[in-house]
Parts: sequence; C-alpha cells; structure tokens
Amino acid sequence: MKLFGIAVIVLAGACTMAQAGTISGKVAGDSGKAVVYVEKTAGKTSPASDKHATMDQKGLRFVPHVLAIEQGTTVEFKNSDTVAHNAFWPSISGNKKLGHNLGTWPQGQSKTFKFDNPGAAALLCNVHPEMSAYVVVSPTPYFAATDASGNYKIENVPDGKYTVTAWHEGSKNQSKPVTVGGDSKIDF
Amino acid sequence: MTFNQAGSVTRGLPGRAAKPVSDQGPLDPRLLDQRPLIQRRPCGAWALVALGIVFSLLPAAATSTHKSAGAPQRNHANAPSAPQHFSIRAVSGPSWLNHLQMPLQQTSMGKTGTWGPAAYPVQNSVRHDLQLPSDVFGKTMVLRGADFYRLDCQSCHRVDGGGSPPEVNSLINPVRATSAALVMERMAKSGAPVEPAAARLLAAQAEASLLQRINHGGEKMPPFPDLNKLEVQALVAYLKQLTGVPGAENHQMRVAEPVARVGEHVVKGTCHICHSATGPVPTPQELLDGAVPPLGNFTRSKTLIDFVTKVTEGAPIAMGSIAQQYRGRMPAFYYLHNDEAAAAYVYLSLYPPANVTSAESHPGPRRSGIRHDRGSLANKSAATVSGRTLDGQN
Repeated sequence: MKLFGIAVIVLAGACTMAQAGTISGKVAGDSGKAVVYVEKTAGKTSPASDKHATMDQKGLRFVPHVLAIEQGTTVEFKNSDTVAHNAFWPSISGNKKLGHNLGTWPQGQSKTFKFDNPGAAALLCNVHPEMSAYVVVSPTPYFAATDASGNYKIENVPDGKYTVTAWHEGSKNQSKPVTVGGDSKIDF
Repeated sequence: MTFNQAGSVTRGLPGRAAKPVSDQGPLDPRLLDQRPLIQRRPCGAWALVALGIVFSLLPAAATSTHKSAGAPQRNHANAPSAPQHFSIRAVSGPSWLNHLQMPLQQTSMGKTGTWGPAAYPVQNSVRHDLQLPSDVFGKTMVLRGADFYRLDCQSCHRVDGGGSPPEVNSLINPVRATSAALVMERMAKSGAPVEPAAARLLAAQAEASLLQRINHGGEKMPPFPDLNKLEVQALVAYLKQLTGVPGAENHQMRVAEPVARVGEHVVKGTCHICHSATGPVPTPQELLDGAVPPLGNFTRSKTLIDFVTKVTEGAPIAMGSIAQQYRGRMPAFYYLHNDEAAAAYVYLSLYPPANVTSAESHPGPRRSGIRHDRGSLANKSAATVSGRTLDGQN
C-alpha cells in the first residue's frame, strides 16, 4: 500500500514535469531583435488573447523597434513627439489586404488596433521615412524575443510536437520542427 | 481703426486691393510696378526726408476707410477664385523665444543669416541713398510662393528647408509625404508597394498635417494663423517645388499684396522670433547682458535707412555701461531685399506693435490654438512667461 502511494506520487510528479517544457536557443546572423514563436498545431487551441501592448513614437522613432505580441492583442499606438506622425503598415507578412493606415494624431493622444492575424507588420510613418518598426504577431501564446546576444527562451510550452518559426528583420522566416518534452534547444 | 479685444489694431488698407495672379496666365500690368519700393537717391541727409514722408502719410492712412477685401477676380489657370482679404494686425506679445523661455544664445531659431559687419575698423556703412516713394501706401508688391517661404519660414528652416536639426525640424520629408507619387515611389523602393488609393490617402493625411502645422504651429514652431488661404496655397505650392514633388513647378502662384502686408510677413515671420512687440528700451548695459530691444521702438529710434541697413547688411551696436561699438548678436538677413525690409518699417509705422497685457498675450492673436495641446507649457504660469518679457528682464 505504501509502495503504491509512493508510486502514485512519483508518477504524478513525473506527469506534471512532463506537461510543459521550454524551448530555448540562439538566433544567429544579423544584429537586432529576432522573435521566435511556436506555430499553431492542428487540433490544439489556445484561449483568445485579451492582452494589451504599447508602441510609442518618441524622438522620431518607434519605441520599441520590435514588438512581439500574441494574436488578438490590442496595441496602443502612442505619440510622445511634438510633431504629428502618420503610422501605417502596408501589409502583414506580405498580405496587402491586412495593410492598415492608422492616420495621424497629435502628441498625447493614441490609437489602438487589435491584431487578429498572425505575421509581421512593418510599421512605417509616412511623414518620417526614417522611422520603422515591426509588430510581430505570434499565432500562439508561446513566443519570445531574443536578447542582445540573440538568445531566446520560450517557457511553459505544453509537451508535444510543434513547428517553431524565427522572424528576423530583413531575413526570411525560418521554421524548424521541435518535440517538446522538458527542455528543448533549437538554434536558428 | 478699431481695437479688438486682444489689443491689436485692425485696420483696412488704403490703396489698391490685392489680386491673386497666376504664374502661368497673363499678369495684370498694373500689378507689376517694376520700380523698386525704395529708391536710390544721391547722398544727403535723406533720412529725415524719408521719415517725414512716413509720418506725414500716417494720418492719411489712419483716416482711410478703404477695405482691402473683395478684390476683383480673374480666372487664370491656377488662380484660386476666393476673394483676397488681408486682415493686417499689429504684432503683439512677447517674442517667440521669450514665449518659449529660450535664451537667444541657446537656439538656432530666427538666426538664418550672416554675421553683421565687425565693429572695428569703423565702416561707413550708413547709406544715405534710400527713400520711400510718396505713393508707397498705394503700392502693391507681387510675392511668389518662394517669397512667402523666405519671409515667413526661412529664418528658422533655412534656404533648403533642412532646418537646424535637432531643434528646427527639416520640413523636407513632411512635405514630400503630401505627394501620392512620392509615397508610391518610396514604398516601391522599400519592397512593399502600396496601391494608388492607399498612397492618396496617406498623402492627403500628410497634407492635412502640414496645413495644421502651418496654422497652429507646434511645440517650438510658432503658429501662422494670419496667413490667408491664398498665401498658404502659394506657400505650400513652393514647399512642394522646394522638396522635389513632381510637377510642383506647374502650380506656382503669385499674389499681389499691399506693402504693409509684406512687412507683416517679415516682422511676424522673422523679427518677432527674437524681438518682442513692446517693452522698455534696454540700456546699452542691458543690451550687453543679452537684452533684445522691442519692435515698438524701431520706427522712432531708427531712420528707414538705418533700419533697412541693419536688417539686410547688419550694423554695429553700442553696448556696455561705457558704451562701445560691438558687432552685436543680430544676424544680417542678406536674403531679405531692401524693399522687404522697408516694407517691415512701413508695417511697424502703420500698425504700431500692440502693448498687450500678460493675460491677453497668452493666448494672443498669434498664439491662439497652441496652448491647449501642450501640457508642458500649460503648467507654467502664463503671467510669468509674459510678465518677464513685458518687464524687459529677459
């Protein structure tokens, strides 16, 4: 009886440990932030996101330069500059139908947009051609941006087989298969 | 003459009404008086003569009941059809730099020009060869969009529109953004081409921003609410040509304006950046300590010749408790013509700078519409800002 109890505890513990893991690694190549995200898997759904994120316009720059969000997140586009900006993205991952023009708005005001489609939106300002930024929309809640040296870590990914994609400014997306069971390492 | 609530003088202009004229179409020869506004005379003590003419004409101008609105219209290819109305108003309130509480030495605003002549060796630069014609108040001057740019914008944005980054923004990209063709070209180059309809929408939004900017100004840019529709149209047409918008050269306009109106452009777009409208006349020591004399005094303290020379060529100035001649801090505005500097003198004579109280000066006639959207300045006391100016402590 005692042995059985211990076995149950050990099994339960093993099950808990096996339920979620991390995916980590390094994105090599060009400098600048990359975003790594887990692609959607058929049959697996995650709850719709109601998260919020912020993109500011400050000193004639978009801040941050790369904003990684989960699909369904509402982004607040602020303007901390004394000049008006005219922010738009011509497409999301090349799909022109998903292009959007936020228009112009003065300092202190903001506009919001809910990103319901995954992909990368190249954010531009019509008035200031030197301004650029990216909103990278992950199809799943499992995504991470790289740190200064290109390392990333996606936590709490349920065990299973997935495809992970790395987005990097100016590069083509790279996708690799991964089986998560504990900690997995994937370099790009 | 009537005084409006803000204390500025509003007055109809005597003489011919101004007309919009197209650069392409035939120009009414009456508008093109080829004689320069100020005429060269042989040497002599013409300063007093010129002054005398200005002031002898003042009563006539003041009693005139002519209105300059409602000019007759002609349908030229590019001539807008709206009637021209000039609501000339006296310059009032603190200088733009005082309004921003920005010391003269810490800014590049209003300083597009060259140094004036050195104080030593003494140069006999006073010219006794300028005189206003007796019919100056009936004259009009024809201004192109490029002239509006020069008088209203160039003192900060420089001749090429590049500004003085980071303080004075370049206007080049904001103006280029108003062209759908350039938006499409840029996006095609960047690898993300946009449809013509999308480009047109972006361009229209940029144009609205540009017009808003000119009318309301910004954090550091003064507003220009006194520019009428036609003047703004001519100015924007030139801005597009300046910044290389395709086809802009076909839309250039000319506008005939009364002399005092031309002077108003010079004073409000150039002089008033650094010179407050009114205030006590600084002592030579206060000048040395950084004071900038008010506009209100110039037509009394300077002859037309001195004024035009100081503006266009520069002239030494006496400063210090034991007054000595110095080069001075004021730039020589080489790009302003003698006629335009003289027009500024005429404007300051006809529309004496208004002495407004601190409560009226912010927001004043020129400043309206800008304080509402500026949190940082709104926290400062308006009375402090303008009170310091009116006390002459800046």
